[in-house]
Amino acid sequence: MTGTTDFNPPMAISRRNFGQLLGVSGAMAMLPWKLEAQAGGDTLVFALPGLVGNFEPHTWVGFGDTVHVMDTVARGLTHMDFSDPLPQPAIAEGWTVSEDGRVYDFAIRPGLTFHDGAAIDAAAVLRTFQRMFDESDPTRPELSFALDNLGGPNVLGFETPDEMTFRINLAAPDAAILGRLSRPDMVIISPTALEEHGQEIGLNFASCGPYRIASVTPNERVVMEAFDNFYKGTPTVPRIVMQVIPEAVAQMTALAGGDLNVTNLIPHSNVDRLEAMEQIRIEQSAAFISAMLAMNCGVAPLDDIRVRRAINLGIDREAIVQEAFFGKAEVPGYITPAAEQGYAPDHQRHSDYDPDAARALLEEAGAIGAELSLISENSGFWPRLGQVVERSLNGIGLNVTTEYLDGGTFNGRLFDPEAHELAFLQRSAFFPDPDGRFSPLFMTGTAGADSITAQSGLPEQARLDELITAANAEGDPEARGQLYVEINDYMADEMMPVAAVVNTFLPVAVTTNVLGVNANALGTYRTFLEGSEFTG
Amino acid sequence: MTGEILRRLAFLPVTLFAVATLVFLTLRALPGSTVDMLASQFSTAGLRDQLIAQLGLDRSLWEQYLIYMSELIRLDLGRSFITGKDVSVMVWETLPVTIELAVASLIVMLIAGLGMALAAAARPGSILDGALRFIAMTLFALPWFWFGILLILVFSLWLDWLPAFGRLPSSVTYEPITNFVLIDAILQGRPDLIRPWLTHLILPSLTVGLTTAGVLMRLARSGIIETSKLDFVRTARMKGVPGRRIYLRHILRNAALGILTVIGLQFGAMLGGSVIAEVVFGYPGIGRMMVDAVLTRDYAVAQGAALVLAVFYVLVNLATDLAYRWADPRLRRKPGR
Amino acid sequence: MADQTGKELTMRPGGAGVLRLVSAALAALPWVVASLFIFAALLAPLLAPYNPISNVGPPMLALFSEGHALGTDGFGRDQLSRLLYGLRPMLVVSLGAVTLAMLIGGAYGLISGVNGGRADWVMMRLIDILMSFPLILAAILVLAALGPSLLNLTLAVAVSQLPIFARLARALASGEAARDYVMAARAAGFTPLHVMIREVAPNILRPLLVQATSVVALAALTAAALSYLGLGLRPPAPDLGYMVREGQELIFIAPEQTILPGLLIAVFALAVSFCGDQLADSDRSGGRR
Repeated sequence: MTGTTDFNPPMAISRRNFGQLLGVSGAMAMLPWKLEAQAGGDTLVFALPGLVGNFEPHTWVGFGDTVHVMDTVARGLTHMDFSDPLPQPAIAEGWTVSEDGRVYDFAIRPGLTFHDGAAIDAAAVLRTFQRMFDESDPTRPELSFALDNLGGPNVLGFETPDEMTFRINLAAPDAAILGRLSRPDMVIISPTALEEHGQEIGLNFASCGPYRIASVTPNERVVMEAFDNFYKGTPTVPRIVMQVIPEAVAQMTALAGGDLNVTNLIPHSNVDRLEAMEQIRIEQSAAFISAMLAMNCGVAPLDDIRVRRAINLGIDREAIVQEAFFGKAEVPGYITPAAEQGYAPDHQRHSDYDPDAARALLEEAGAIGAELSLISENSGFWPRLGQVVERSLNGIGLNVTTEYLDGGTFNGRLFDPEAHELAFLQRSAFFPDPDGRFSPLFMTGTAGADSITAQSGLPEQARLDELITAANAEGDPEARGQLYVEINDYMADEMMPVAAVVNTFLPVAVTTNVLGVNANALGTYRTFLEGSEFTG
Repeated sequence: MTGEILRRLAFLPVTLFAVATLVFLTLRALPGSTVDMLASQFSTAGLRDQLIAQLGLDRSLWEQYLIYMSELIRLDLGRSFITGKDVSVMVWETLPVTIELAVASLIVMLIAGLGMALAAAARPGSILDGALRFIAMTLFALPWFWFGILLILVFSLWLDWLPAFGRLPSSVTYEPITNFVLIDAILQGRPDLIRPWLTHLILPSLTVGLTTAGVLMRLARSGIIETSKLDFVRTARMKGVPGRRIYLRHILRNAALGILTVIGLQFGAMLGGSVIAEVVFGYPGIGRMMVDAVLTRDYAVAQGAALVLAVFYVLVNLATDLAYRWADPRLRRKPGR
Repeated sequence: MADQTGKELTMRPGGAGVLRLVSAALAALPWVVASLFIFAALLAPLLAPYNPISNVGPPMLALFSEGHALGTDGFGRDQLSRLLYGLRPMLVVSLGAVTLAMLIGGAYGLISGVNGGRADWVMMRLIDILMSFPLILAAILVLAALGPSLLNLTLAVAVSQLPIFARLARALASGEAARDYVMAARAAGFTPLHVMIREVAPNILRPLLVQATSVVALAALTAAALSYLGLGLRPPAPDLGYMVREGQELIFIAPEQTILPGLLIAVFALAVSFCGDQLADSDRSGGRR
């Protein structure tokens, strides 16, 4: 990083010099084309990557609609704010679990209403969950996948034992369900709005989050106002504007100009530069986002565990942290990041870099010079990551070619076990429960295990399925965490279907006049702005 | 001439049919599908088949094509797989933005291109002429995306004069009726919308307008010079008609024909080609929507956007041709091509 | 200046000699610059101080650092070497795409123009349809379908240039087809194929070549735009358009990483545009004589 951090902030200086050079100081006063800074006072401006204007929680629309806006305007039964590994009460003020771990009773917090004034009771909650569950529900959108994210066929049904109690019945114990209820697709929708708008609810959304939607201009911005009857009380900042600013250059210009208060979209390369500016603060957040290298266990030479181990040993993760993330990332342990339950410091051994041992393993397996293809997306940090991974794998005697593909092509090949060998995989923590990285990704029957790594064909997979099922049935958080520690070790030592590559976070930039931004959540896409406030 | 108009108009549906078919087929030929994009958000393989069935992607290509065409005949552009919104609504949200940008770019192109052409053609061969021709060529040679980034760097970051992104500042509330800001400002009695709208339009339209002004300048300049050498101008000169009058009444009027063609072609190109400016400046236009839709395999949106752009392109070209025929007395007499 | 009106005015008494010298030098300049680009690209392995895709120094060195005149990028790769090697895809794609477009479009237009009649009408309407298709979309579709590579980028750019050549060739060929020598050849019983290739093609080749030179710049710019959108070459291979994209996020820190590759694209496009312009001018005046 020499040469980048040790010179003066060039922006301030060049701006001044430039002005003097052209003698434009006077002209600038006469040309007040640019409006005064928009942000500050009572409006907090947040940058969105995109905005469709459809806030349908039960389908995936895009990060802008489905996560950033949804988190700000809606809330579910539970909440995870990333400061605590355990779910906290939200619209439910508490819950009880039956002895066998299959019946969850949620006590609905009394006195709450939706944005449209309708009361929140067990019937209202049931209405939302019924909409996920019942395929004949007329308000259910096409492509509703919410039930799948709640637990799929393991969810037997819902009941309302009394007016303020909501019950979920499960086929098998599932300790992660409390965490999953905090996902942005598990929010409670106003039943009156649902009756009125049906499938169009996303265009006329009403829930019970800290902010209510005041106006929406698709592709441009959504304006939100503080909601008085939010369960944690009225948020301090009265107005939030989420403005679409997809390009990094424009975002940084907006930050520097005070037109933007909070963003989690700035590139890692610019963290040091922005931090040096006095009006901007970079919030450090835990590394919840993992990049992994999936290895297709169904194709030669990757069907040989020695080759997979060699690849794992051959990735220079320190170089990735420095070159692809400009130091703003961590060398991982294995699947579970250090910030979550299920991690043990001993996991770091699964990410050792040992090119000599890697080469020896390849020689033993007769795979020196083997040609492998690596598929990667062509946007975000992936091309930077791909270049370092390709280089270090070629350094141990493989012959890796990386293909940088558009999203459609990449995903098409990722889900086709015949169409890829090595592939990058991202896992972020929508909710920091240890199960979130295992049952949806590495259990038999998931697209991850069946198609991406094809590990379902390995003899060790049956045991892994058992371990994951058992861990998720454990009700005691401490004991449960320990089980996930062991699952990490089992997968790494016995199977190695994926290599952990790097753990990182989305750098969160905040103007210094804003406090209380939940950076850990923003660092992994979740957007909880209700604790924010302006200084002075 | 009426025959030609009718023939061209009659051909419009054929063009649209061909464009629709071409986009339909090429999109299906791309690897990956919407389902894979959506499936990256969830886990079980069973859900994937369910999605394929819900989207109708399990039908044969031929069946899908027939469904698409029968919807199209009823002017139904379909619904976006990913956003769940009607494509016609999405087009209504983005097309006016692109038209605004194209018109603003056209104005920049006309002012810069014609201004340079007039100044250069007044004294062909002079140093000014040489310098302007060099500038015109340079403008043409600038990569759009790069020029846009430089403009942001200078005017937004260093000078802090102009906004770098978006269409309106976050402080302005705007409830679109027509989605053309200028028209809505008049309809809604909101003069306060106009200035912020214009300031946001300046950098993107400079990017597109200046880089295309070079072409216009070169053609207009040579058009003016060549017209001034024609017989009727010489005759007028010999008759003692004052120089300025010759310039305005005879030379410019005749050169305008060529200029008109360039404008028509460029306007058509701007509609489809402002994608890059829309990407660099975060401008919410139809070009960016179309490219995103291709990359996420949102078939209905990509098809709808391409079709709408094609309609515009054909209509603009037709209008240009008609204007040309109307303005040029020689062509008015000749039937057809 | 090379056009006729220019010549008339530079022929003034007095400094005519100097002016003529200056204008000759100016006229030669674009050819010199374009040749420099070609030589630099050909000789990149000799000129480049380092391997363009290996880490050879600390990352993010500033301009004029010791051993790295233009600094290094985020991976510690030498920028000067990357820029030199980056010229290669630009030249290959722009020249290749234009050649391809000229051959295919030219042949298409030739067939259409010589045959005339209904076939001609249909073939030209097909070109109209292709032109009403947003060209950037066509290029993106080609690249998304075939995958990113040098060859596919060339194909995508060629597709976007094809209609220009088809129309020009058709106009030229239909003009030639009406001439006596073609009529004579036809009357003499030569096959239409013979007439097209032996009689008409040689006569329309020159204007097509002139046109080709003048669209090389456009091809280079289109290719750069597609690379900028991430649809061009595979990194780590250096490519100027992609370097602008990679450098863009560093514009606060190291603006030269965006500015230099863009500048090279612009200078190349400028030089070949002037070359094309000169050819077109001389062709026009040559045709009149």
